[in-house]
Amino acid sequence: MQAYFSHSYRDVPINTYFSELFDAAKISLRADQKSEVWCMAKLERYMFEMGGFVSIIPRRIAADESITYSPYIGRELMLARRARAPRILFVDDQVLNSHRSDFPATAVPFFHDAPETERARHVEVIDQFRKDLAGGLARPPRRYVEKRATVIAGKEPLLRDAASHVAAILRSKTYISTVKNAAGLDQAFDDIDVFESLLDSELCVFVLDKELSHSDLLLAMAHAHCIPSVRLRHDPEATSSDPELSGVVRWKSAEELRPRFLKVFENYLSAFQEPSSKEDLQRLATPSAGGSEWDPSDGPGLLAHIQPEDSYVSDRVDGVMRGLASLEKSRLHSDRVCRSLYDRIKKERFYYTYEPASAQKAAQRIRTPTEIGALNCGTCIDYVCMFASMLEAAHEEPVVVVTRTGGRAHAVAGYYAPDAIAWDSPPQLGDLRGAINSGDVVLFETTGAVEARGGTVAAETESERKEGGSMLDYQTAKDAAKRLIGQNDVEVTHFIDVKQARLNRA
Amino acid sequence: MASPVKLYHQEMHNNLGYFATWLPASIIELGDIGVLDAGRFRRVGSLKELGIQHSGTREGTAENMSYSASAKRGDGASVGASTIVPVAKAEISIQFTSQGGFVFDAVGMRNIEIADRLAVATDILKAYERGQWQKEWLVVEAMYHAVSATIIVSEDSASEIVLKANANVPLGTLPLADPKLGLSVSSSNGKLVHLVAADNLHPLYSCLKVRDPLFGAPSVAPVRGLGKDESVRKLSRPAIEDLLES
Repeated sequence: MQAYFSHSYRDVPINTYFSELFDAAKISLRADQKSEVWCMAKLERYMFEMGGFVSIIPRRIAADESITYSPYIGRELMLARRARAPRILFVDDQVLNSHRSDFPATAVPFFHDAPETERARHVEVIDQFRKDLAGGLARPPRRYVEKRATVIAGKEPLLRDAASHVAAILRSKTYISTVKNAAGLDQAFDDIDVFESLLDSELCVFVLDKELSHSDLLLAMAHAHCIPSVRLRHDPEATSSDPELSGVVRWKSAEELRPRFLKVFENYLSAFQEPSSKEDLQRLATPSAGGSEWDPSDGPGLLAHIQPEDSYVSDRVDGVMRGLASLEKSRLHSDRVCRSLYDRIKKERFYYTYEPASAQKAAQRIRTPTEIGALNCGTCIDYVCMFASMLEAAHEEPVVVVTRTGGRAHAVAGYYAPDAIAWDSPPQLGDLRGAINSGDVVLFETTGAVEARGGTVAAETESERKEGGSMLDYQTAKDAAKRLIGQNDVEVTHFIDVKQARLNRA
Repeated sequence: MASPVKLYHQEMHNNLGYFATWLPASIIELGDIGVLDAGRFRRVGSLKELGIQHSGTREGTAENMSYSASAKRGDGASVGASTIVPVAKAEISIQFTSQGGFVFDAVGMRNIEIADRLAVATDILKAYERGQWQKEWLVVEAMYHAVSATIIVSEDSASEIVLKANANVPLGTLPLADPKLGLSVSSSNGKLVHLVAADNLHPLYSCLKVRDPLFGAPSVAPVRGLGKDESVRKLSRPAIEDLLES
């Protein structure tokens, strides 16, 4: 008995609680590996290959402090409702109160901090869900011809060529593909061959114009029947290559079509995962893509990952610097800059996760700021490089400190005060402690600006995380970094003075 | 000649990032100029004598501090921050098990530093350019002042000291720097440097030097107007090795 597991990757403790209840009820949950590709076709495909749909909907705190939830989870729920999949929903009680009309009446509330408070109720509804699935309510698999694909083209020659290109790519991947279109309104409504071709296909690809056409009617039919579909829309003014929440992928030219289609198609072909432990859930939340490799024994090698010219960085820094009254260098100014950058990133509501897997054991992949922005997650060294990039872009003098404590490595970022006196050689632990005490070096826990649920990342306390809503305010992030450097068993493995290191490399 | 009490220097530097004043009762002041020699700061002059004024000081808040290393009770149990255990009701015995083993206990420790470091840095560099400043000179730019401190450092690999209070109180958890205890040395064995409840000490200091090479910095600066100068970039801090191997 399998069910699709729709959940928020960042809420590992909540996911762990519910996945254990489903495990005990002998319902296996299948979930998608987090990636930067939002693939509607894959979700539509799996909606019919699972007996049911399980949704765990935790709360999010929006920038204006209002209660909300992930739009992606909302989309998955809409998909399940459209597919008439048997479903069970657990919704954060505050989300349910604020957005009651978004959810079916069967939604079951939970308290985010201690979902086990209502364990008996949760066990009861999961047991009923299991009985429903076993009693014949499970969604029967969709009937289609494996490896058959229908490509629906718009009317323009450019779209017809693009559809032929897509069909050729599908054939190269051993699919039997046919290209069809709707020449008029009647054909779109009444061409039963085209409609049956949609129903019988494993996958449909729509190559449509920016403006609505008759072929869009066929997309509407596929959409209503939850037929796995890739939605390619030609848009000469497209600004993003990422799939939209609706599943639409926009492309500007014939050259862009192939990579954009392949990005979604390859995700469609990837398999779902079956998480059975907290570690599995954490792994699912860790996107496998992204990042470039860094040898952790090569401290100065981190320079390549500090990218003040990254567009994500410059956008945020420009916004923050515009809001600061004075550019006069002083300790106060540096504190304002760093605090403002930190608070800006907090608003993004990123979350803490592990590093992407690397084939090289002696290397760690570090995500760029733009990748963090796209994936909404990162590990400590990702965030350290991102903050160092932002501080450098803001004309501060960033430093990066990599530590080792009891076999575990961690990193914090910070900056030199404008009147700080540096060392000729890399500082030792005592030097660093002295500089922190005197304010010559200011360090902060960069993961404090992101959500870390269900525990701590470094030297912050659980209560500090809890009080900050899984994050830390800037002062607490500084305290946590100071505490880390003050620990008895801490070692400083790398200290990188970014400005000096760049001069040394020049 | 290297420092005879490396462990003391290393541990105090490791804990606070400051150099330990040696001998602990030596007089050292903000703005003193000197060189490192055998683990000591040897004063050769002051900023004032060179005509360099500093406008004021910044002070931190007072706190008590307690550190120790290679110091054990007479019965062999380890001695840490709450290390000192009474032998009799108003007596404590401390055994040191390596050269440089120490007990550092201070009350009312307050950090004091030169406030306008940028201006002082600029003046030092001018003095350097005029040939008035020697490359090996250091200037004391920050230090700790202790209202009262007990500092005991062993110069032998094995030594012992017994302290006695003038009141019949248990000493186990009380700060040994507390002058109200009226502590005095009851007996000692081996080569020890000891200050017991001494007041108004400067047991820790931090200093700066002119960066070597001074003109190794890049000659190209960004074109962004005339902000504050970057004199501080032409100064650096000596490493603990410079002290230990002096």
